[in-house]
Amino acid sequence: MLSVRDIYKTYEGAPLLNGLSFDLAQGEIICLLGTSGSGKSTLLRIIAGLEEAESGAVYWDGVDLAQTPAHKRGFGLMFQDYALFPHRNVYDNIAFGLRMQKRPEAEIEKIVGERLKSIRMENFAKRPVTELSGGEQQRVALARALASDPRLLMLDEPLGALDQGLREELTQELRQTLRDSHKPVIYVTHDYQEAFGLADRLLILHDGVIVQGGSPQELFENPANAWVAGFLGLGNLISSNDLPNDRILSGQPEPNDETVWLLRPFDARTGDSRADTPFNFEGDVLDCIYMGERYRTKLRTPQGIILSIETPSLCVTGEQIKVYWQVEDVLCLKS
Amino acid sequence: MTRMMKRSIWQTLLLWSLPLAFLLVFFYQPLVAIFRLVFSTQFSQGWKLFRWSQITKPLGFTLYQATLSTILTLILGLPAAYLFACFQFAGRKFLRVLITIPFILPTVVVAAAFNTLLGTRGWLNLGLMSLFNLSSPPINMLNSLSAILLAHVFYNTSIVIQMVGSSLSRLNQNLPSAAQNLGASPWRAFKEVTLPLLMPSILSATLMVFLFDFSSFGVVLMLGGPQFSTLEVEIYNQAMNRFNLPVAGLLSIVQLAFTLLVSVLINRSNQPRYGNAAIASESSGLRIAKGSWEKAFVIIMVTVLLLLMVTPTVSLVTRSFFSFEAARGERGELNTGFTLRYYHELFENREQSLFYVPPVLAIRNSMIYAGITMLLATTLGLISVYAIQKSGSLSPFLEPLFMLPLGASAVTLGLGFLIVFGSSVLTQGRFQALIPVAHSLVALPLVIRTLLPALRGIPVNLRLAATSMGASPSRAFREVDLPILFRAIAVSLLFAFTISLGEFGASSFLSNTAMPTIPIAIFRYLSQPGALNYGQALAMSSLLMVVCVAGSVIIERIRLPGEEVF
Repeated sequence: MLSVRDIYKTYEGAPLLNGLSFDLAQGEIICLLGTSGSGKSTLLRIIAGLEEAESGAVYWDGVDLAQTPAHKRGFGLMFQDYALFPHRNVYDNIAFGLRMQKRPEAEIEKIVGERLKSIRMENFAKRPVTELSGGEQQRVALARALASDPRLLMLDEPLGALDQGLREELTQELRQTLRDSHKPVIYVTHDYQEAFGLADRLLILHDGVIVQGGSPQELFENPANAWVAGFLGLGNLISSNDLPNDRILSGQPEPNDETVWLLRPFDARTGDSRADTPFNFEGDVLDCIYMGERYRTKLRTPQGIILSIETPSLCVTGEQIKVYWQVEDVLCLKS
Repeated sequence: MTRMMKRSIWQTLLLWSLPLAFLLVFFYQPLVAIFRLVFSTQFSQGWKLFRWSQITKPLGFTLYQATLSTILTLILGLPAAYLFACFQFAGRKFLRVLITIPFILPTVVVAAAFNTLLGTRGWLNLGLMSLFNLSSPPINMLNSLSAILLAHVFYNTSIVIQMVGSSLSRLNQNLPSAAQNLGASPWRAFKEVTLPLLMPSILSATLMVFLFDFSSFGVVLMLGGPQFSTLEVEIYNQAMNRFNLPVAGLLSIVQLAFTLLVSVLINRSNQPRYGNAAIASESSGLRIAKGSWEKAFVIIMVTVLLLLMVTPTVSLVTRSFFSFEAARGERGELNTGFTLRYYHELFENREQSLFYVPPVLAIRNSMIYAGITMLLATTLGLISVYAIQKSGSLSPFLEPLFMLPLGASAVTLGLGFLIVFGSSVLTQGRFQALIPVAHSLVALPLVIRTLLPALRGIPVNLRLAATSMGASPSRAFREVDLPILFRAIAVSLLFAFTISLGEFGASSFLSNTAMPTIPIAIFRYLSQPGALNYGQALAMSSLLMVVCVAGSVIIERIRLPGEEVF
């Protein structure tokens, strides 16, 4: 289906996308994850043909799209600010793409009607889009992008402009809509929880390249490096200098300055230190929050390291506790 | 409590009384006088004093030239707005500044500038004459419709660039992108999305340009010659050359009616239509022209803009430093080349001509008038904005009272003054003393528009805090209002000063032959033969231009960002 190869693009002199490549299969939903300013939106605009890459190519079924202008690509893009046309009402916004395809008016009416029904906004057809709430705008934008039946759907932080409660509600709805459409989807977000809930595969964009791609589980179990682990919020990242006991571990690469250990909060065990693991810590409880079933506790060791752990019971602030991780639970990462 | 409210009502009334009295005497009285003169004369004479063609002909020509001028201005202004809103090119900022200069120039300066470019003694003719060894100027573009149109385009293009350009650069670029993404070609996206969203600002700019072209006086009088009479010029002719005040008055009424109509339309078109939906949070970035089409567009636009918008003023200044013909009284001595003579002559007392008035006298007069105008308009403006501020819910009704003078043309004002004060014993021989009054009326709406937002920006709490700490109201004004208003007051003073310095319409009615202002003197020198007269007119125009440009540069510097008078 879609192949993106060696995309290079600078922004104000500095490389933004630095030889980025990935592929997308039929019907696959991928989430492109990255911090804000990492070039996610630019990448979507390049794929859509709205911006030109300085080098690299976008292929569809093996055909280079360099000569295909944006309006002939048939890729739907839903903008972060939705970009609804303020001078058109809801109906005309959704019908815009169909009119560009010169479909007969009766057919347009049928398709737009179906779309309005699917977003439960049948009575909104004649409403000016400027009078819609954020959630309604989001639905109309999605309906507009889907109405002209694009061969690829791209969504740029579709829930980014909404408040938390609405986001959770709409994530479910969006997941259903995307699954039902059977279209390949590129979904851009900076929120990994949103991405985990939606994607078949995640791509992590950092420093202008895809640093890692894989299923949520793969990423979760084997983050490619410390940055990915930190970005996904997988747990405590401890450099080897910070370890109280620098014994060399068998079966692990030789620790050096570039090595970082990932200590996941739910693998933490409280109790006396054990001789068979170097990951022994002792610290004061800073904070303890009930997370449902377990508690998220923050510790500070005498060396000043802050550790986040999960405990089965409530810890009292200021209390001193001991905690350790077993060697087999710890992951060694490149920083 | 009620006593305090009563007191504040009295205070408000007191505040209102001074500016209102000024307007009643010097604006509404002349206006009423025009109406009375027209209707009493026409009724008593049974509408036989004039032929309809005396009205319809100038009206027709005014509409015709204003429409043509507006269309031409849009033809240049819209692509120019696109150029400045979208493209980055070498010298962009500098060109942008150069292009705003015409708008602030006094009409006489524009007339003089076009004269040095296209006139019989202008660069174009001088160049062609020396190139082909001709003995007489080959082209005569002055006194033609094209000269009027060119000058109007020169004058008003920057309005289009400013108004349309700013909404284009603030347009959310995702909107046309979304259209393309949905299958619209770039041209279709422009037609379906960009253009409709720009339409309100294009409409506003069009009406604004039309209004300026419709009420153009100095440009038409000086560049159009006798055969082209707009309403404004015809009012002047009827009043000053034929002494037919009733017809002049009738023309004034027609003029006023049209001006008000267009102003109402402008006000309507200014209502925001889509809220913030079409506006980007940050203005879209500029890009460098890519591809041969875009490059050609940038090159052609920059060339055309330089030719139309910059050459006239450059030509004025350079021509004022060059002498090309033997000056009168110095027969035989043909000094061609660079000279400072015209500038020296401004300060010399050479009395040879019948109408001769030393230029330095005109400069002195203008300085005095501008000084008085500056103080009078700003003082009245300050009192008015406090009155508007205090009157609360009544202010929407009272504010237009102050803004109406903006709708009446300076020529109408001059005519009204002539009718009311022209024959009065009080002003006999001192008629020109009314010049600063007329200039203040012209400047007052702009002064109010400058001061009002500044005053509204002062938090009430600040004043209350000062009062609660024991400051008397006048002390609170000095300690709180004045420092905050300082910039706005400085801008007002400069506005009033430069307006007065360049004002031509009202002055042409009021100034005495022996006591001209700078623009009147330039007008007279330009219409007289002789290289010295011509050179002096150019020297004075150049100086006036420098003062006006300097004034507006200072205004731009000290004005707070986001405040715009137009």
